[in-house]
Amino acid sequence: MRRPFIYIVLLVLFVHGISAQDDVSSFELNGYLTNMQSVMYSNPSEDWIIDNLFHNRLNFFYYGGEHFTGSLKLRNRLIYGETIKLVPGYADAIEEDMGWMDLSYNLLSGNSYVLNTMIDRVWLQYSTDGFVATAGRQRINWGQTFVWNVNDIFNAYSYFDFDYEERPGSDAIRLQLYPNYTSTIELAAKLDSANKLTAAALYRFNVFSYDIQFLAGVLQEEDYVGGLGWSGNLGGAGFRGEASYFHPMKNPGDTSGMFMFSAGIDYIFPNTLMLQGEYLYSSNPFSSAFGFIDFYSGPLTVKQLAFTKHTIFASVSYQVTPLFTASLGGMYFPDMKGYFIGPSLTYNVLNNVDLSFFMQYFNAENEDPLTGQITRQQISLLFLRLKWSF
Amino acid sequence: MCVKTIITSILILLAGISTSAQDAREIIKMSDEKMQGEKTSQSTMTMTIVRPTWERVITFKNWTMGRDYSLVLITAPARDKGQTFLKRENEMWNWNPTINRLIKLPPSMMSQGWMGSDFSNDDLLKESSIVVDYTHSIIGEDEIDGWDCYKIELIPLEDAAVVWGRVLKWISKEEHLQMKSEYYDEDDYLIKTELAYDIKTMGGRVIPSKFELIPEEEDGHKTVVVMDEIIFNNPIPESFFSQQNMKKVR
Repeated sequence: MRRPFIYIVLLVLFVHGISAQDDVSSFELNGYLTNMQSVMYSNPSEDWIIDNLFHNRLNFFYYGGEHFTGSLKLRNRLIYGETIKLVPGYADAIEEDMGWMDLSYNLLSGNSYVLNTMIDRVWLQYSTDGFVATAGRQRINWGQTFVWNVNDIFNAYSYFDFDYEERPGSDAIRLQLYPNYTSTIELAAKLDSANKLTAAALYRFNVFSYDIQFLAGVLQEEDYVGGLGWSGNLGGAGFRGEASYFHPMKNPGDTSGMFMFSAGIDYIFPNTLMLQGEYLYSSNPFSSAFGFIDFYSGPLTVKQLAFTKHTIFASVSYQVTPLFTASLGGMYFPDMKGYFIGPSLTYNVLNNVDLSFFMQYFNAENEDPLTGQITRQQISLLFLRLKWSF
Repeated sequence: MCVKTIITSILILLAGISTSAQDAREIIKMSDEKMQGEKTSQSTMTMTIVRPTWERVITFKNWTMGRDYSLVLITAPARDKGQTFLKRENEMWNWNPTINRLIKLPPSMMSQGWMGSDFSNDDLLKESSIVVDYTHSIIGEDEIDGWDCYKIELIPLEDAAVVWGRVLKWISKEEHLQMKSEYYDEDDYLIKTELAYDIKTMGGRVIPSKFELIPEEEDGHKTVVVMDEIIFNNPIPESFFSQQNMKKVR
């Protein structure tokens, strides 16, 4: 029931593909294949939870002449190891699709493994001078800052999920108008798996060397949302920010809204040393019952981006050679007396092969929702990833 | 017939006068336009980053219109394919198709090595102009690779967004080719040298088709750019250099 659109897209692509055999139409395929070994522990001398992931991404593009483009992108994942054994319902969680269409399938699964395929993009696009219309599962990215995008109301995601930089798509219809060469007006509407509508308009323009955007709309039929964002520079440094205000649609007169704000600075020295800092404020931080699990599994909506009222992020990255990049990021959560530290190393072994090491360390106080008892928790995750792009 | 002959003679005469009267700035301007196209250029390039123990190849397409507008599309390696860089006047954006996001780049990016090479964003996207951002003087003559060259010194204007203390350029007397350039920092240390090779007719012009950029204090380091194809002054609408086209160009 939730899959009618994909058949339409596939049919259109197929019919268009066989009928438009002119020299302007063409197909293209790219993607990557990764293998990632991961280890999780609270204390290195105690139990380790060891997992392995084979991850293949395929991006198909169809160019049907001057005006039509279509795309289908999917990820195939073979996950095996201890998490699936230890966490009940893990395979079902992998199969869950938050979109209006259900395009995630567990092809095979057992006690120790799951093989999942998921279509996270499938869209058709019509474009002409100054106008683009896109229908289907697509990424609508309205972010301006680098870590917390409170304007990115169509896709909420977790900063910590570094292995999925494409992010999930939205099942949406989107119209983009380009009044001039550096401005956009966008209208977008999506439905999620609960048939809830998110719809908004955005206007972005360039003035005094700043990109500035305003947006207004409805979030999951629950809140009115209004936002503003910018990208510009202070001296040589990049200066970006986003603010969003959410107000409940039910009883708007006697309920209070929620305000979120993020702003950051980035600067690159001539020797490739890059410094980044970002601050996130939320008037109603998302209180998590599961501690770190929620950090990692990612927010369901943009309103759940913050776990504490104030969050601070800082990172430094350095290109040791054009092939070898080292970085260190950190976050501070004052209300939880907690912090996150994430070093990473990436080495370009061959032209299309990268070897990366990532570590994520969390340390914070967590309140038990039942007993109210406060305990300090720590957890470490280590990842070693080999990636071949094609 | 007679009128035409007279006009032609006058033009030849004028050309001769302007050649003898041309000053350093004019030579630099002609050499700049020769490579940029007076109006537009579109080219396909292969860039090789050479280091003592490894090499990496990046291919890209480049469209320019005057000084103010340029668009670069990366076509290889696979990881970066489809990324575009747009420059309009003094602003720059990057489109990353993987995350479907337009990122406005800060001015501190201009001095960065582009895609890890010895060429900076400024070299590629031409934020500063060797014509308007410098004063020029002929300080000698030299022979480079068999070409008689003027040796011209460029000193940046005080308010120009230029990182160099001075630049030396060897421009061939014939064809106005930039055969060699040396870039010095504000303490007058030589930082990098650019050399031009393989002069041939491309896009209807006699131009070098291969360039090497050699950083001074890094043994065995260089970046080689080979121009696979170039077309000059083919009309390109200004709308080509737009955020819409960044996401579409192939």
